[in-house]
Amino acid sequence: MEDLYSIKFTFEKKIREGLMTSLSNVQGGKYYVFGSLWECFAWAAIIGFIYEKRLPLTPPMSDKPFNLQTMKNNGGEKISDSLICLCIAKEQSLDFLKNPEKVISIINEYANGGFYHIQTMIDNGEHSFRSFEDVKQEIFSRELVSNF
Amino acid sequence: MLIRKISIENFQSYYSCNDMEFSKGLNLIIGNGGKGKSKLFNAFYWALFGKIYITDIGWVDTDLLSANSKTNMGKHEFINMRALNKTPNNETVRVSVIIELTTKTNGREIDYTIERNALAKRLNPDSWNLESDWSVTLNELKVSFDSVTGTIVKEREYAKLEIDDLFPDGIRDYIWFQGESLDSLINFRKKETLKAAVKHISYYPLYEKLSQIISISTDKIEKAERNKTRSQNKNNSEVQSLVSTIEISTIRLDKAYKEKIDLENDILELESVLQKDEKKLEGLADFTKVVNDYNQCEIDLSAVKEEIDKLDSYQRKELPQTWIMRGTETLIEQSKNIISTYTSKQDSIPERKYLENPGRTKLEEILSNKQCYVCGQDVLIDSEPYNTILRRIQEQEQYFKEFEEYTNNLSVNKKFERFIGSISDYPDSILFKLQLIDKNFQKSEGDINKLIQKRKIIEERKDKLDERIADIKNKYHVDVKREAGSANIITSGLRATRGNIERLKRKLDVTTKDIMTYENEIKRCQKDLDKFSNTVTGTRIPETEWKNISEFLKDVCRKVQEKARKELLIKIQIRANEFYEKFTQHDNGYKGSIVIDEDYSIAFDPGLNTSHEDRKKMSIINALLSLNQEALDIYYPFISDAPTSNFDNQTTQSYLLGVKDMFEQSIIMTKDVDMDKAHFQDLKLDANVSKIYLLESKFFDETKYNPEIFEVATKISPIK
Repeated sequence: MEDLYSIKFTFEKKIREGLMTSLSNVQGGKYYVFGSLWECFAWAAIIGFIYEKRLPLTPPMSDKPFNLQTMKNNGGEKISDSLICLCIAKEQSLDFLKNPEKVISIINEYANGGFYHIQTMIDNGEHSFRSFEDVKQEIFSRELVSNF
Repeated sequence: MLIRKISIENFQSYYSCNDMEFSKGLNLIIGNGGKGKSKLFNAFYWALFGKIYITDIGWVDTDLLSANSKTNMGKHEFINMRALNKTPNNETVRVSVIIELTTKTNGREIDYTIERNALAKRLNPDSWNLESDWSVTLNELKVSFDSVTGTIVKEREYAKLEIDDLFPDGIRDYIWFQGESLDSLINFRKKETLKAAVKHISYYPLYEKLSQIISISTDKIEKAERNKTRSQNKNNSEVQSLVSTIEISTIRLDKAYKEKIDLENDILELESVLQKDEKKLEGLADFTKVVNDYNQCEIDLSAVKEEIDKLDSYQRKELPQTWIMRGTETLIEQSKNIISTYTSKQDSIPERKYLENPGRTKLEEILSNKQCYVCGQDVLIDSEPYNTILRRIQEQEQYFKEFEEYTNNLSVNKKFERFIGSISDYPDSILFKLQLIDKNFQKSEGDINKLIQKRKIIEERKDKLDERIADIKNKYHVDVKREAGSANIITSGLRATRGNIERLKRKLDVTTKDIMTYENEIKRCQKDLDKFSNTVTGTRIPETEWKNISEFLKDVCRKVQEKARKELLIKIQIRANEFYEKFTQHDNGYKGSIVIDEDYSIAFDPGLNTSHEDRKKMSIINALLSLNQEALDIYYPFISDAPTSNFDNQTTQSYLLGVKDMFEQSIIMTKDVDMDKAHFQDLKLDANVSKIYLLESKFFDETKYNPEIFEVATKISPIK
């Protein structure tokens, strides 16, 4: 199953040039909320999973700079694990795991849905995401439904 | 003298043409800081004397302004900024101040118009606020007044002479009173200041002048007498010797007197330095504490900042690595269930069903024989035993099929199973992390908030210390942060100064003794000489009579002068205390009183604060001015800017009430008036308060929150 960790994620070019750049501390990002692109991508993917926002990607696509292994190697081991678990929960089975491309594609689509959801929140004034505080606010205003 | 009107055009904060009229009594100009009060005061002073007041520098001639000099003010910068800004290239802007006043000379009233103006030509189309952008003419003064022959107009130096006549140099500082110069006018620790003040503004100098003339005459007469005695006794060696001794002793006496004066001045100077340094040192103990507190604040702030930075870094690390997962608990639990269900299934090998006893061959035999070989029971087609055996055969087939499949897939699935095995503990580990997110977030947020609160408290403490340091700088002219460590230097300086004073005092003692010796010597010789001339030659020299008369006059004059001096000081003390009583009538605490000694020294009272000290100083100045008016029957308007910056509203009120009754006309510029309070309303209704003007800022573009300097000017609103 090594493939699953080495397949690179894909995202739309306009997402890369828009939201991801402005939120990440790379290539002239304006708001410096995330230190790496993968962090921003993971945040969007989790938003997609939580709010059930799965959206197929529309070309043109961006380059592919990271994979699950990148996350694992850079302190995001739990994030990588949780993305797999979230896919399992959504697919309600494990069989799809036999097809790593399918797994990455699912994460890509939820991340894409998440990015569009973030853009909608910005557009309707719910959040501005201009600072680290804004992202904190989004995270800690999520409703918790826990069985703990 | 009565100032009737001032017209200001493009001078400092006054844009275009502005007029203010004044009457007898108190003319009050109110305005907060930066609204144009000091600029109005400057306008008066500039029109009369061509100078403006620059903080920390003093009065400066506007013709001498230069951006490169210590004034750090370009020669165009006393002109209104908006007027400069609005002047097109190659065009000229005019700045002028006109004062109209009336004086009374020999019972006749004369109207004067005093005008000072200058022109500035713009030289740069692209820039307007640099010194090099302007060519400014030297200012011109014109004084016109009515006389029996018609209107006389005097210009330049002649006009200046007229102004000097109208406002004698010696009293300007006291009439045109700038609050910031209070310390230099009256200094409790320096008796010379009161002596100088009295010299400037009282009738007493007339006695002093008379005494001086008589003293000089006496010296000359004595010299003439000695010369004559010597020439009449050419052959008398004793007379010659006595005259020589007198002459030598007189020269020595003069020298000793001069030395005594120099020594006394040096001692005074050093004592003043000593007092200043002692005051500095006295404050230094406090300064050191203030600076230590200040430094501690900076250390605390830096520590708090470091803590906040640390927490911020923690949050910035945790957020992308953990916190973004918040809210996924339900989904993670679902994944956990799915994984565990799968795992439990994978663990079961196909159930081994009825493989033996009996086996398939035996079962097929029973069906074929239609009889059970164990119990002998019939097994007919479609009977219950028949169907049971048939079902068992099918189950056995299914099991074999499943087992075969299981065996076949075993190697393929192993990899997948391993992966599932590896992710089987993900959900629990993630759920554990999720459980901690809120707790960790709240703790770090709580810690940050506590630190921010702590930072706020430290910053408030630092602000207070900043204010305190600024106060100390204003009061002691000491940069606390720089000087806090200089206690040792000051202490050694003090030691040296004290040593010098002791040395000079010893020298003074010697000189004083020398003076006594020379005086006794002169007296003795003179007595012998008198005796000699009367008894031996029998000739009386006429100069001796003159000498006796002048000495008598000198003595009388000294007594009169001394009496007048003492009376004047007593009068000043009484009048000053009358003022001080008024200024402090609302104070419940200790306020002391003004005590002036015969040697002009004003008793310093360490129990009083700065406000009381300032009130004492103002009381003395007002007393001097009012006594001067009474003695010489000359009434000048009292014009003062910011006389009351250390006063509270109540004290300001008392001060203004005192001033309005004291001077025939006073023009006071002050910020310390609470216009909503009842006592201001009383002041407004008072008959002696003739005019009240309010100075405010006029904004040319009201939409701008932070306007440029050329978009703001002074607006004058008459209130009374």
